[in-house]
Amino acid sequence: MAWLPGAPALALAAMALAWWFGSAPERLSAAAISALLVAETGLGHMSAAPWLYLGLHGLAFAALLVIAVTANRFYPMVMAAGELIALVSHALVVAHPPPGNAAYGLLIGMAKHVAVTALCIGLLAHARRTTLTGRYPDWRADQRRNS
Amino acid sequence: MFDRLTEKQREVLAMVAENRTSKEIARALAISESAVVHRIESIRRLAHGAPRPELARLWRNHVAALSAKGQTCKPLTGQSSHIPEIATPTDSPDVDRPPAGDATVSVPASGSLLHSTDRSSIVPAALGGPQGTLLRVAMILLMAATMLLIVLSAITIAENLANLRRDGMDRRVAAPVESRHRTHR
Repeated sequence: MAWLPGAPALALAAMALAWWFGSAPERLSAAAISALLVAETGLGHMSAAPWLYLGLHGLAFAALLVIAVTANRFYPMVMAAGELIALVSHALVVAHPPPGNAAYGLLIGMAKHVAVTALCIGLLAHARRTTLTGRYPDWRADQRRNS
Repeated sequence: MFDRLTEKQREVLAMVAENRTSKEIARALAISESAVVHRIESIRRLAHGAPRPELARLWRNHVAALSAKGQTCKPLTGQSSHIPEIATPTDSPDVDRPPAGDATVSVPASGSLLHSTDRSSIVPAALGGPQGTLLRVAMILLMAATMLLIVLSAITIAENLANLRRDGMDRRVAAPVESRHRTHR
């Protein structure tokens, strides 16, 4: 599924804001999503095999899962959930190639929209908390103790 | 932000941080419930519209930070600072009440599953505890399932609407042909 109107601009703005104003989880999430989008666009130009997309989304899901499990944030969990749907959809495409089914495209394209929306909301919440209370921990308390 | 609060607003906010309802606060301070709501709304405006649980969390963080620095929270003065214990049916064991007559604000020692025990944690306590990893993964699966259900429902609805439209168009095309057959007969 292609981007919705205005979504690429929003995605670029979110990535830039995450990098400049975000803390470690925001930067890592934005980096994972940016890398995924760039690689996906590259693969699209090369008309690559479906299993390459599967591998790419697998890597992105693994990265987002690690962030979601360790960060002192809620939105990476939403991003990981969206990416999981994209991963499962790609796995289905590899297992049973669909005959031009638009539903697969919708499920796969949904992940990037969910990720960008979650990142934007997460960034806003982070900015608000930082304004009100100052800096707060980036990672879970038990992770902080272990590290 | 808390430096800009009036004494009355601090008094109300301290009780909001103890998870008391507006009614309970009004009864404790011997003022009307609308006055309590008005004070909370004033505080919310100063906090850029933060919701009530967020205000409570911010106040607890503020008090904890002051305690860590070795300062005490500005004591509440006057008769209204004496906060009596209220025995209500909504009392729950996981919400700590300050001792009667204690004019300073105490930080609850324990929290419920929904209110984090770690004051600096912004996710619910359950997601940061020993089972946190498992619960977070379960949460991700649950959210993915919910999103999938929503998208699949939308696809089904769109498909049915498209079928209905197609049937309607077929009928419209078939109707003139049928009438022509009837006139021939």
